[in-house]
Amino acid sequence: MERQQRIDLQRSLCRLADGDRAAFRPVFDLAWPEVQRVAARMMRTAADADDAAQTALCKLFERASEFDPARDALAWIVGIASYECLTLRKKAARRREAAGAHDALGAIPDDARDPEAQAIAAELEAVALSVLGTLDPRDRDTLRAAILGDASAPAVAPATFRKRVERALVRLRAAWRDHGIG
Amino acid sequence: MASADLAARARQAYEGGRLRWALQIGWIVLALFAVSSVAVGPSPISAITAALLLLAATAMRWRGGTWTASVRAGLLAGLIPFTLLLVLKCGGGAFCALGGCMTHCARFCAFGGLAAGALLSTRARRHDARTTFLAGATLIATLTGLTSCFVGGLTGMAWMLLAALTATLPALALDLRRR
Repeated sequence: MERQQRIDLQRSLCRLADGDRAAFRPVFDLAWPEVQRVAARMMRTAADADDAAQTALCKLFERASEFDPARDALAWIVGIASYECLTLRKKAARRREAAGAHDALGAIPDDARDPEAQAIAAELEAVALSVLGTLDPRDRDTLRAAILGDASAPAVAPATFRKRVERALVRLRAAWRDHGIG
Repeated sequence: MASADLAARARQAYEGGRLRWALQIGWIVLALFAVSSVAVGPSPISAITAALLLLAATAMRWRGGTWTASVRAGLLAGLIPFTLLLVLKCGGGAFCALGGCMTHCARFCAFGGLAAGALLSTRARRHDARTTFLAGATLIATLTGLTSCFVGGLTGMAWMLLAALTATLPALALDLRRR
């Protein structure tokens, strides 16, 4: 961004923070390319970047009234956009992790016909049950609810539940490692 | 997504965020009402005044510019009659022992209103839109003062309002004359 544009952005954002609606369009025109640039750098695909940029832009305008004129407008905008992109990336990673776990369970050949596959399946099942058996009952319930979409999921806030799943997965990985797997 | 659609969404987000930001003043109004209820006793007049104060302050902060600045100044000026009346109420025994409890209340209300108006007149000098500033700030100061000033009864409330308006009149007249 050029120096003059940066000054214009600073002035316009200060006016918008003060409630001057006439400054909305200048801020929009100057901030949108910057937000797009940040999203393009941080997201993996163009579609993700576009989604992230739009979400970040709305978040930016939602918080425009809180902008402190003593701060640098561009740095403030980049900060909000980066935070939004990071949040979206974390969400996507969480989704992939959950989907991966589900796929891995689905890949176990429980109805395998040949004896070798049956033996592998039986062995895997035995090890899985053994590893799961070392976990705390609460962790077991949490993982069952998260991976299999159990209807008897604990009645907690989604954020709390996500945190519990995260912790249970960490402990599950540690247990797999203790069994010499993974 | 077309730029116009995105701009409309961004504008909607801005207005929503601005309203949430404006509503944050509610904590101060709630604190004033709580102090008034504890010190003076719960009253429907105090509750109505606090609700009106919240409504006016939120609308003015949402509008922005001079209106937003007038809320801050108005609350500060309104604290003068508010505190004076709390002092009177808390030291009620001593004042009322001198006799004429309600007369003291009305005097305190009037003096508080006068001081608030004078403070706002001084502050109005810093703003270009003085009339807007004075109108907004006087409204907020009056409502803030009335949150506790209702103990002075209707006479006390009227005195406070009259004194606040009287103190701001010279500044208002000067501004109108300049135009």
